[in-house]
Amino acid sequence: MSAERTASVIGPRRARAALGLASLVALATAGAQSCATFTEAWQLTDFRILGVRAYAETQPERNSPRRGESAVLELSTADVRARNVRVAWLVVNSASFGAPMASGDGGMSGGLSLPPIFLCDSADFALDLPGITLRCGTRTSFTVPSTGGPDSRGRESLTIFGVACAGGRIRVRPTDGDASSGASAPGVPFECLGSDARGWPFQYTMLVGSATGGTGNDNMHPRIVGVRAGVMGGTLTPVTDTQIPRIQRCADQSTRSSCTRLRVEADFNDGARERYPERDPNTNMIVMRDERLVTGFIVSAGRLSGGFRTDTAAEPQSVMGNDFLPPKDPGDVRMIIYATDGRGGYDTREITIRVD
Amino acid sequence: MLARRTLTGAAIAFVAAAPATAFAQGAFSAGTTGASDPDAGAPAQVADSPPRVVRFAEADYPEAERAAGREASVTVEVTVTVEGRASEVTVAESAGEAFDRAAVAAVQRFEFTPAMQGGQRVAARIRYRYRFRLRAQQPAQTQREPMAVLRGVVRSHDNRPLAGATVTAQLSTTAPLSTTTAADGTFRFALDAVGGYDVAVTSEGLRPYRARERLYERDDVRVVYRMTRPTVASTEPVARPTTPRPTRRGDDEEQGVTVRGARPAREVTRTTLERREITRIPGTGGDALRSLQNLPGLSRAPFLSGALIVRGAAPGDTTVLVDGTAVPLLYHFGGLSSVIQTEMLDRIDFYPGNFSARFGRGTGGVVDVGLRSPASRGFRGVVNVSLIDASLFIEGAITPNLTFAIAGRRSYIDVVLNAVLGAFDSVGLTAAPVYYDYQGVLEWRPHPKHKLRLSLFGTDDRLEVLFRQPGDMAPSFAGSFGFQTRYHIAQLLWTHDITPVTQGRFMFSGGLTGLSIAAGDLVRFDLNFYPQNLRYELSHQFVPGARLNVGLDMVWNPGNTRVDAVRPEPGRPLSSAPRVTTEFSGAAYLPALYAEAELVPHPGLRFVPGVRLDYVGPTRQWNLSPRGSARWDIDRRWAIKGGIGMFTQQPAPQEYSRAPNNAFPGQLIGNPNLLSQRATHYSLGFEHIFSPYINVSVEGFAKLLDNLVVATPTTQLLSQNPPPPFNNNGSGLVYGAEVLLRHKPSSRFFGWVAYTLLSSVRRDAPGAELYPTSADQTHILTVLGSVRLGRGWEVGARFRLVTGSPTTPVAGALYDANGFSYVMLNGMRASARNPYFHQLDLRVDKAWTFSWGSLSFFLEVLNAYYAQNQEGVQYNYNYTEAQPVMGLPIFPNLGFRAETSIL
Repeated sequence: MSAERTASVIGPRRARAALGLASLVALATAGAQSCATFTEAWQLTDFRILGVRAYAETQPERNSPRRGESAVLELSTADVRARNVRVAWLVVNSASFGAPMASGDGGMSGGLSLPPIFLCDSADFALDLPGITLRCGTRTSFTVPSTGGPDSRGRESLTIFGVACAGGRIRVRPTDGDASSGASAPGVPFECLGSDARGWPFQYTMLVGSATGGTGNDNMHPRIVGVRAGVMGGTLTPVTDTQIPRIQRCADQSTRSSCTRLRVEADFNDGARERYPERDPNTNMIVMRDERLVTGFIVSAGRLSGGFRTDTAAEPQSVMGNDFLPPKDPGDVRMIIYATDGRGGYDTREITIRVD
Repeated sequence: MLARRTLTGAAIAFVAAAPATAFAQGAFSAGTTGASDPDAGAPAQVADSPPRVVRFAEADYPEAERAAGREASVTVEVTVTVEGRASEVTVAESAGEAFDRAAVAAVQRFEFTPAMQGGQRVAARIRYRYRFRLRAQQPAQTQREPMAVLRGVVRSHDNRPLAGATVTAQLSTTAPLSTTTAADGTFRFALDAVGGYDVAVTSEGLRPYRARERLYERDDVRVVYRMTRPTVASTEPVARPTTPRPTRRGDDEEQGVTVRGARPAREVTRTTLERREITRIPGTGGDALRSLQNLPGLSRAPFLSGALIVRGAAPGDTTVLVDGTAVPLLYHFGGLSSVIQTEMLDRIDFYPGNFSARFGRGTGGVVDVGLRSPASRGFRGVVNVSLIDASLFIEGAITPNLTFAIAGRRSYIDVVLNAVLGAFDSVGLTAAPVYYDYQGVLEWRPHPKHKLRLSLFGTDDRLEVLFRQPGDMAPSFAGSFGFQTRYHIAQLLWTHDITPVTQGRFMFSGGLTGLSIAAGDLVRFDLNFYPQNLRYELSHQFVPGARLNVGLDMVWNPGNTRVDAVRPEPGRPLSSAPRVTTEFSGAAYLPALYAEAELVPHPGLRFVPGVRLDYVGPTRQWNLSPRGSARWDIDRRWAIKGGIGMFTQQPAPQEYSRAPNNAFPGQLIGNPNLLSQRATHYSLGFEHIFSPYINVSVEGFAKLLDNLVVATPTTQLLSQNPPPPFNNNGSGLVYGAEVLLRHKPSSRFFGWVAYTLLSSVRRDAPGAELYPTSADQTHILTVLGSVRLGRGWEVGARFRLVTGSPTTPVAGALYDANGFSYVMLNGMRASARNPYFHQLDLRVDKAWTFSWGSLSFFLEVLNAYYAQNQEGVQYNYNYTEAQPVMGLPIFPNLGFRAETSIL
């Protein structure tokens, strides 16, 4: 029975209109009640982690350091208050510790037990134990250890977890300790302490390249080669340090605002979406796949139409762009664009938007 | 089958059955001075049939007691000789010398049919209660305790009570019974034999009326027969089942009273809720199946889930059947409407536990829905329209022996939601939820002893949502999301009387049940089963008070499942993870045999022992499930009841599948060595009748669960020597109590208070910590009532107060730098609860009667005082902010129902 037929049963047009209106009111009321007012992922309101860039020290474009190579880890963060950021890194082989952490079941420490001491007051701190590497600093390096062998999917990887602490100190969390300032969570071995501190625990899986040095398993970081901006519907021009996009402020900050928006698009290098071989779990054959980019956008003021853009099966070469609604107050707005290729590759770019 | 709750198309039966003796009491209370209240007790020796009074003698009411206005009951013991005479009358329970003397003198003048044993008359000693009441004088009459009662009202073509009509009822093996209707059109047969009665009603100037009524032991069937004017062309009297017809005033007591579907009284308890109750309960939209949700033993389902949670069991543990065929769902999307229209229902049997051996493959409860037989004369149509959906029902007779009924319903939530959700297009959300259902019945009665019925019923629910942009919590997640649940089933039923005391019931059904789920590029899940079910049951009454039911219940369930999903991998966002396609097909062969006896060794005492043997083909396992229940009607006001039984449930197809799991090479999808889940039900309770309208039922219950299927954690599946993906290590315990205090429908009011005290806990492995299940709602209170105001107006209210469901708090989050998302870190499992749920629903009805039929209008206001009921917690993208998810706001629903008949 179609809707039209149903309506014909109802009878007069006025009755149908009343029915529809009443339904609308009832359901709109229900919908309104369930609408939450949360901080959006695209709002930079505090300290947050964006991503991890891991690479071989000898070849910064390569995301998959090999066993025995020196690998570099860089943590990309954003903070509204430019606080001093301390970072503790714990590198373990995935075969021993990775699974509990990856499951998100609170077993991140994987049974690791350390005394409740403060760490990373100095970025030079380093500790190497069998199967465990401890480092400090937003940028650090280590020699890629044994991974413990390939996992059930034939990949070798290292699991990295740690904490980034803005404006505070990092302590090894006592096993029976209470939560402190945000970086504490069940199973997380570190915590961020400090009256004005904000910390986040994080995890990252670093693929380890083939020890033979073949290129088949290597992954290169995607690169954001440029950002273009312009008013919506107009021409987009490249953004540079001297070419700062400008836009008029907007008093109406609602989603239905009629103010002019700024269109921003990130351009990637040609090889950003790499083609890579992978064993198809269905056929057990090696097949070639294309990477899918996920791009995030963050602004310090104003509004964006969503926090992320991603390639999909329907649109494997999606335009990584966003629409910016300027804030009601004039000034410079930070926009951070960060992207991953889905295999550990990472890049980020920050631009300034001038609101008049 | 301790607490069967029956809901019929005309009525819903719910608490526990009024014992047969209560019917007799009703007959006696017609108002005789010094009327007796025979209550034959146990004979001194065991007899095949006890003595029965055939000649009643009225006692002389002691003048002094009459003057003092005193009433009393005297229980005497009397020896009934082989000649049927009373001797050795002694007082067992005295009411004073005067009353005692009068009672003994009267009983000494009684005449009885002697007790029979082995075909021989034997002397017996029985107890007899003689009640003295101060009422208007009427001649005393001989009373016998009947095996069943058929009574009702005969109305004229213009709906007035018809006095002086002749009503005859005849069983094929006995002489016809005949009576004449009283001034108010009523009649009553006290029947000493059960079976299919041919009833004929004649009255001068009106068309003769015929009907066939099936009565079983202890049935009390109430009917309304409506005579019609003769037509020129029609000379043959035809049968027409009584159908609810509103009276001119719209608030007459007879409105909504219709034929009581006579059912085998296998259960030890049964009480009936009437049509008026099921269609006027506030908050149900007049949907009979939704009225189930107001009964004790049912947990409150989460908002919009539509789940049926019976005595703390998981929704999937409760079996829903339509005339014996299992169907996958009872309610449409969101629980807003049931999948079968009220007009099509003959009955709803709800068994919260300790159910009959004829039901299996479930450890929770059973809801067995019966489709009604269409009207055997004329045509009737009903239209229901509400804010949510609209439905149409038509029934009629092609020939007197070939009848049909069809019904269809479609929602228009899609039209409304599309308009409403247009406001959200900036976030890229569009939706089109829609459902429909249909039922069709074609019934043929080639012979009074045979009934054939072909039924078609089905439903389709679907919801599609398009996320044009990735969400904050799942950056790699975008695309189209949706689900569809459906079933389409054809069913053939054949009921036949082999002899007056032997009945057979054959059922075969086949069809499709399906489920499809799509979640963007991540998951596509399609499941299709083609279940075929064959049942045959033979029921034979060996002697009065002893019936045996044996049956075969076979299920052949071929099906296929296809899962196309990304395989989550550490370090890879879902959009980049490889897709894995897993397909498996097979057929589950699930035959079962059962036997169940219904034993009444003593009036008022009833045992129902049974046993069921199930074979689970996929796991090659036999399950033997012995069960039993008992009920003892101590007197006319008190009864106790209890039951114990074992119940099993085969694992789900994905849990026992032998197909290879592509996501975990070298492993199977399921564990073919799984055992069936098992539950042992215990229950004990009592009932008390305070007055003809008010009664209470109290029942305690416990369920021990073991062999529960538990999924192995993914982390263990990734290990080098992974265990099977499922195991039987789970166990659990559910216990509690149910109370139902009910006021049956009177001319003005009906209502009840239902309260459930419940605890439902489980553990996933021996020695592991117990945790409360999501169904663990400690207190569940429902209070409802409805009052007739006159002139077709009726108002009602329902209030519910329920303990919030357990929840697992979020203890923090971890940033996944590979996928740009935050991983939620759980706190202790089920260590928090939602706040108490409370809600008031109001309903107003107005009915009109016209020459062409009737029209009624209703307005319901759900959550009338706008209670802010928390149904859960939602978090922002990094779990640092939380807000409660609220349930239904004030929600008005209105609709109308129009009915017309063509005779």
